[in-house]
Amino acid sequence: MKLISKAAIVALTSLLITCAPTAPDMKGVDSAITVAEDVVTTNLMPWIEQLAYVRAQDIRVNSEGYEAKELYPANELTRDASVKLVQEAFITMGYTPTTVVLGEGPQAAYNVAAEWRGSTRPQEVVLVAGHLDAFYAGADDNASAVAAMLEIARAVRKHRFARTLRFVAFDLEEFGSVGSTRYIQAGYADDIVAAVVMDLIGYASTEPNSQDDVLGLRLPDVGDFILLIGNANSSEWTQKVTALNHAYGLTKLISVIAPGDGAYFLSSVFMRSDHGVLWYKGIPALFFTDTANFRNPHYHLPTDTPETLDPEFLARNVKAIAAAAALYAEVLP
Amino acid sequence: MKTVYRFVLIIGFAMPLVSAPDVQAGDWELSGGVSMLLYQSVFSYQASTAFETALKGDLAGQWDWQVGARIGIASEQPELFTRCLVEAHVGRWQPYVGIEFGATGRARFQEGGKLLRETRMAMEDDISPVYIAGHTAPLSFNLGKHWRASLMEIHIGTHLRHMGRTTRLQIGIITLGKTF
Repeated sequence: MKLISKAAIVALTSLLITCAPTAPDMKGVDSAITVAEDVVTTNLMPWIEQLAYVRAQDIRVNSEGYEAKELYPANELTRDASVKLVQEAFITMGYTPTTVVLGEGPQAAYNVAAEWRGSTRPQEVVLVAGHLDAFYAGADDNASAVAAMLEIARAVRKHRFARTLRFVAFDLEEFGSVGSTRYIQAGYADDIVAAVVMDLIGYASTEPNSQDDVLGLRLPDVGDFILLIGNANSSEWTQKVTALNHAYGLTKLISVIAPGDGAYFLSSVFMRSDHGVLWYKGIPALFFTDTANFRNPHYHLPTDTPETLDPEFLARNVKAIAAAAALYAEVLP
Repeated sequence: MKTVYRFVLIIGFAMPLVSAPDVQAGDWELSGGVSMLLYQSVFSYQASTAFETALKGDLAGQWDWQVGARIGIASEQPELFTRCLVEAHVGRWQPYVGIEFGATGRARFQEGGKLLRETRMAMEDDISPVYIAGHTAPLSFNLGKHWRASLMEIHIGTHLRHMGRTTRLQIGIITLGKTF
């Protein structure tokens, strides 16, 4: 009888251990932080100011077929000057960027890509992306993410990674994730094992009631946090990034995991950027955002200018995002 | 979605317990009706109306089988379906619930505007024509010995591959059936 009791206790204990929620595996966190530490935050605002400046001189993208309406000034989209600036920035850093042109005519998409090749598993690619097309100056939407991508691309060059880091500035996101969709459909994402996508990451407010709920998602009413959205495929990574961020106090982060793969019509609000098609195609992706029009009153307006951003908030976010990418890419000693 | 299915199943299993069985074994029912379908994907939808015809027979006890077809108005593609239903008889009230499997040519979406078109197309290229749905007819009544009328039948389902990525909500506006 004693033996049976002992066996029952062991079995029950094993079951409880199996069923208990487990803390995320923190392996690799310490080395990922070293990448975040190499982010030079004073580099960020100058990129944003340059992008705002060149966009003001740029010609508009042919918006035929896209109807302009309130908060969607389709005929105010630019991208050519941003493409050129991003290409030159990559070259200055020592990269050899490629511009992947997909589609034909005036609405062809110009996706600018550069790679920091992995050392032990280079065939596995971690994508770091944001869109480069913008309405008006587009400081928050989405110069903030382009600046983050460029600075992370610069910072990672001091490190070796197991996996390849690929930086892509997608085009024509504002026309419905056209650049990223074509990129994925054309097979350029077939080697991507994980992705970090950013869209509007620089606007914050400490005023009460500055944050609206994102449809169906109750959020604090002060818009001073960055929202990280993962899905089932990226839930473990999301938890790990959240734990890393809290452990090192990088930024004020709120994490959400969309149900399933996130590709349901009830959660379509969580798919409003280039990560949406990645999720749909089963690629684990993290999406960082300041929640766009649910917080930023300058969203898609001529007033989305660099001076409306919070440089310290942006800087903290970029460190967290750099760490997230480095974590998946696996920093080597 | 799981909650909906659980609800349908609970109601389905509960009905035979609370109702007086009054099934005439061997009865066949031929029915026809009009239904509306709202088919929803991440960024797309398709609303359509269809004529429906079905044949129902006795399976065992209060369990029935049904096969049928829907033919859409305005050149919609047809659907073929089969159902397993459990039926209750409470006086004239004859509600039923069940599970429907079908193959549909209506799992396509309206073109919509150019915005998001490419993303929509990329997200719809793996939608399977085979679907599963919960089906309920809560307002189904006998009209005399051989006739039955049903209003507002509800059917909630999804296509089988990547379940949940599409949702099909169908409202059976009116169905008339004749047993023989």
